[in-house]
Amino acid sequence: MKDLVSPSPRTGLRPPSQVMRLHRMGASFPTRLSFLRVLTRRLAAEGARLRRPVWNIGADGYGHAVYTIALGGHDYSLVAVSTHLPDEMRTDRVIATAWDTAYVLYDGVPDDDEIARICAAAPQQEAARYTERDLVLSRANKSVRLFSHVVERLRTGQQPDAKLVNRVGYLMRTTAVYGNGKFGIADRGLIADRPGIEGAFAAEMLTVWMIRSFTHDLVEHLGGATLDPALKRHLGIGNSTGLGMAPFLVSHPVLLNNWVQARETALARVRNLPALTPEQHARLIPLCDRVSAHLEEWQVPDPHHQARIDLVRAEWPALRGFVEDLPIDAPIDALIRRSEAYSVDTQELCVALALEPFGDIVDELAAGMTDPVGPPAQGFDNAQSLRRAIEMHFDWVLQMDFDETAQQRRFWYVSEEKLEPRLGDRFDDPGAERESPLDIARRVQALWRALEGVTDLRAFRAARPEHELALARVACLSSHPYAEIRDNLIAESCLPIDMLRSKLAFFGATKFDPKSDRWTRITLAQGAPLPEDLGTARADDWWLAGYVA
Amino acid sequence: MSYSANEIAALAQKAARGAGFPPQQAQVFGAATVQFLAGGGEAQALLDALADPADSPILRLPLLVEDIQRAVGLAGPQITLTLQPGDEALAPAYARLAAVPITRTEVGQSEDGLPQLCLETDPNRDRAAPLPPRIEASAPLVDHLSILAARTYVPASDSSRSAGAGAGDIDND
Repeated sequence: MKDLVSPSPRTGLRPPSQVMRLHRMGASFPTRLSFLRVLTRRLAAEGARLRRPVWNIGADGYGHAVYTIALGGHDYSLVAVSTHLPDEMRTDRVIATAWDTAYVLYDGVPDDDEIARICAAAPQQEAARYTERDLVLSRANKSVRLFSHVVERLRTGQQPDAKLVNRVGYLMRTTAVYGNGKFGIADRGLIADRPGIEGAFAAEMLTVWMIRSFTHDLVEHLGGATLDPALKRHLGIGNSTGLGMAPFLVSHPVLLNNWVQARETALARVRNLPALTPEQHARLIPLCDRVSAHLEEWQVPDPHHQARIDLVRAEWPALRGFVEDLPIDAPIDALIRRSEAYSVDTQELCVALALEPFGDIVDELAAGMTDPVGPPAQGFDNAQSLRRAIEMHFDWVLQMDFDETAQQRRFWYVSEEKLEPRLGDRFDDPGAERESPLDIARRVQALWRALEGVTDLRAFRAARPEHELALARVACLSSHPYAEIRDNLIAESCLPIDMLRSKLAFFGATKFDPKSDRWTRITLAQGAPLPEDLGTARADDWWLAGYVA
Repeated sequence: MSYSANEIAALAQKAARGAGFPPQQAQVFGAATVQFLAGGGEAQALLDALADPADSPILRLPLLVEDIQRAVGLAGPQITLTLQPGDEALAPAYARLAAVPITRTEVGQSEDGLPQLCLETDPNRDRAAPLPPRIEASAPLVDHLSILAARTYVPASDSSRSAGAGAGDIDND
């Protein structure tokens, strides 16, 4: 089958001018290439088994536990520490100084001394130091209303209310998952070649999946009874995400390119399928129904976002009808074309749906979603070739008018208050002179203007070093077409929430629940396999999985 | 004290930005600082480089990295490049950022007294030597870098705290 599915000539990849616009990125859905999904697929393929060698949790729910799993020939252990947290200290923000629970993903199996070290350090999070044996550092706070409800129900011999489980979706939400050397933990380079966690954010996703198991065990311990597996499966792990996630997409252009290119290549492959087998077609129908159920479950307080969800709900039945009666010739391409008549949210949901039944031609693309070599060197021979490259690849920045106040209203910065990333108003707030360099569009336009009449590029670069960032971005985009968000990130109209959703969808997040234009909660691993599911068909069949009693 | 490579790179990058260097050169300086310290370099060379954002190897040496990549392609595995005076201490660390597998670096002098960087590469290797798991950095160096890095942080204020992040302070739901 793979021989039949090259991305050309019938349907190529969707162009960056379409895919890399913020409003479309902000409509992203998880796919079978999302990192958590890739991880659980790998765990299942290896027949990985999660063990819990240490459970030192008291009757009050405080103490520590250790979980260990073997993956790719290495053992990884989650050390989980649960402590009392006064309600007045429970905040999801970076500026928090205490949490309900803290975690370290450890390289190997920790001995008693190492467990004691981690138990002392992890509750301090950023204020402590860690070693290269510590791969990921994280923390999570209880969803107070659901955690208490589940414990109380279990204590009285009942199962929790399925509606409440669905409405919240998790017992705890992580408020940070740190990897790659932060606070002394291991650099990603130390584990980047390890089978199973070589993928983007794989160690972080492994941590999150193991934390989810700890939250399940903790309520069962406190409640003195076991959760119904169907309800337990529907209890994912929450996450609260703010502006800190957004700059990553700008500062890692090759990685962003590789993520998007993998997804778009997958889409082109399935669009180029000349026909579907009856089995493949039959698979799409229940997936459409799963989408319908997911949309019904997905309720958010924000009226604007709820209206978007409502619109997808209204549009989906027509697409489901189209799927029932797909044309014989190039049916997935026809489905994607049909979706273009609907909202961007529905279009992107349809993209995720289209990839789902075709693991045999999609899943291998996950291997390319890393960045082993970094950005390319600039290869411009002269100023004119650089200027032409800007006109070809960054044409969209040349139309922007940065003399307009609205086009430069925002500035991104890092607060001295626990280094929390924030967004300011350039004309009202102090600190714009300390702006973080996320103004790529403005910088590239400035480079293009400065290059006019330049004959010696080398001399220009030596004399005008302030343009080097823009030059590097042009070099990168010339060879990595999906490396740039094609919008002005300092414009008044820029919505950081779109960047957050794009990245979180690549992680595998669902049930996006924006709390403002720069802050969102999400659910990860809802419907994901429990440890005991890893050897079953359920292990790789949980895209948008809803509650099934 | 020992650090991860990413910690050192991020801190040095922010320090360079805080010292007044442009962001791209600051980023490259961050990566070069890791190589420099991993190779046992003395902290003073880093501090000297950060002193003057108008005249510094931090501005000049990123171009050297490109020169190395071009020169290796044109001239083979052994090359010699002329440096600007003052760049010799950090040049080997920057050279290791080039996308070529460097096996030896040596700083010498040309006949007319200019510093030179001599490099050997191994065409049979496809990647640079891996970094050690920890990078040693002295407390005075880290303190100095931290002071410079702090110049990129915006002072805290109530309005920044309430509006800048777009989130509430308490999450007990």
